[in-house]
Amino acid sequence: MTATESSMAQIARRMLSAKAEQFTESVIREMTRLALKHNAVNLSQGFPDFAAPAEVKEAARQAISDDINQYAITWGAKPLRDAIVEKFERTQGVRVDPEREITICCGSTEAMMAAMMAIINPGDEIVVFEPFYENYGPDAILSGATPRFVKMRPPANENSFWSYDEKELAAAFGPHTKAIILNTPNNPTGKVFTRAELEFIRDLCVRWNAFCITDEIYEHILYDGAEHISMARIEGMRERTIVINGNTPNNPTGKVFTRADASIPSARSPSAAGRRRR
Amino acid sequence: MAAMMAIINPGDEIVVFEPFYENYGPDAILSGATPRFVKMRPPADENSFWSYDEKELAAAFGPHTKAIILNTPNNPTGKVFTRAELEFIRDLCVRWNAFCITDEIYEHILYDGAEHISMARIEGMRDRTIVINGMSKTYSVTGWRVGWAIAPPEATSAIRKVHDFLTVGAAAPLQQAGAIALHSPQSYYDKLAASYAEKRARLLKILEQAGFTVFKPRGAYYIMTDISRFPDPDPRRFAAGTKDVAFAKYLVEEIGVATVPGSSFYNDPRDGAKQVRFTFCKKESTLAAAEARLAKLHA
Repeated sequence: MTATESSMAQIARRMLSAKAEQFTESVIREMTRLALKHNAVNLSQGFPDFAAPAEVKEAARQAISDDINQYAITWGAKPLRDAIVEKFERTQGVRVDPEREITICCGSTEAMMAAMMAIINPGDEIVVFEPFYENYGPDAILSGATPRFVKMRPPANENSFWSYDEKELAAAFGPHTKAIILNTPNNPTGKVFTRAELEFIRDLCVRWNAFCITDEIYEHILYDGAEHISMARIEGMRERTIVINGNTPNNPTGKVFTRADASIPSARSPSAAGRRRR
Repeated sequence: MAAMMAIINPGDEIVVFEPFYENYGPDAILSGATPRFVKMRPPADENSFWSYDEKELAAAFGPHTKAIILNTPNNPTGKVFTRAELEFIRDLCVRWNAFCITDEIYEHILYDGAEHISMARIEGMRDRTIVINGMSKTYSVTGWRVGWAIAPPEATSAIRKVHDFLTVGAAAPLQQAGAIALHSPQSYYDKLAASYAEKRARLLKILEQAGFTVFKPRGAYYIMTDISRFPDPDPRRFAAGTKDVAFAKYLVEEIGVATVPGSSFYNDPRDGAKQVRFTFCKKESTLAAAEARLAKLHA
């Protein structure tokens, strides 16, 4: 590098965003790059190394052949939104409006970021359980929210689960709380929030007039009879909940989709927030 | 958006030519930048192009300028920036230590021998330029959402971080197809430009016959028009804001042709009140249908 280039590089560095300086690229996804580099067995990033469902692949090939290659409308193709309505009603018993309450995004990652940018103002706080999926940190920084972390503690023995202290959780809420970020089933702990836990969180959301942004991408990956309960289904939370997910259209075989980070996610929300996000 | 979020700090200003592609407005708001607009004026006659005042452009730069947003070939005007214009902008970027974010998505859609020059190629700009491009327009796959940014390593590292947390990544199978598409032979691009040249000629004729004042584009696939010659639509039925909005509503509801009102390309809607944008990236049967419907218009 010549002296001129090096000084230009310094100029460029000084010119970058202070927000972007506050976080690094994903550690999880960096581990996959390292795994490739060192030919390691990759048990880091959560993506299947087995085949995606044949029907889904065929549907994608067919759509491309049929020239469905131009812009979908901004909030998503009607058949997919209708499929989401049908599925959410079937699995959670909650009926949502495909015209006013659903936005299809480029990945649930974008859905989460769009949701945060849609609701956050300077000074707003978000409550985040720890350990947390690393994206929620940069989501907070880029949208300008201040995160308040609440610790979850590892199970004490084989018969208990990850847990948090209710007082600590209550103390994290306050007049500046805009939302709590929930992820159930949880990455990385595998915790599945119970109805009692969700109702406790509901009471705090109602008391402090906060949203619940709930990342439910692992809804179908459950063990030992665990039941996934969407926050949208908890009484009083329908209008305060933004559901982030990554479902695909009706699966004729009824198989569980194997993609942990699906490419056709959706955000469902009370319609006012839905309109802002769009 | 990733590029903007990667470089903008509170108080930063960006310089934006007007009329502008409407996304740049929300990009600025969401990233926290304050836009400073510089007007481009429609061509006075058939032999001139959209132009701006150099003094106005120079005055828009200052100590808070973080970047200028350039779009060449330009949406909606079809302007293709010349080397002299790019060098003038370069001098301002160097003087005020600013980036140039240059949206070159229409690089292969050029007419009348116009040449696309990337700002990254202008001497002294390699390290200040963030090139934005994508598959949408060159390969006619606007629904795939595969685009890219080319920037110096430090800026790239910030862009990658933002991108990582905005989306993780663009659709993998479509990126694979992109690698093949970008190896298309020159004949593909020649054919693309030739085909759009025919469509441009077709829509220009349709619009002129229908009574529009047309501004012939040198690139991209839009025609900006002036609607001054048309009477105001019935205010009782099309009461919306500026004339362009009322006229566009009238066109879509009564005539059956959808367009984009000019005001959506301006900061102050009144500045675009006499303009409406048409696109011609359509097959012949679509253009023919538009022709038949626009024939019902009377200037």
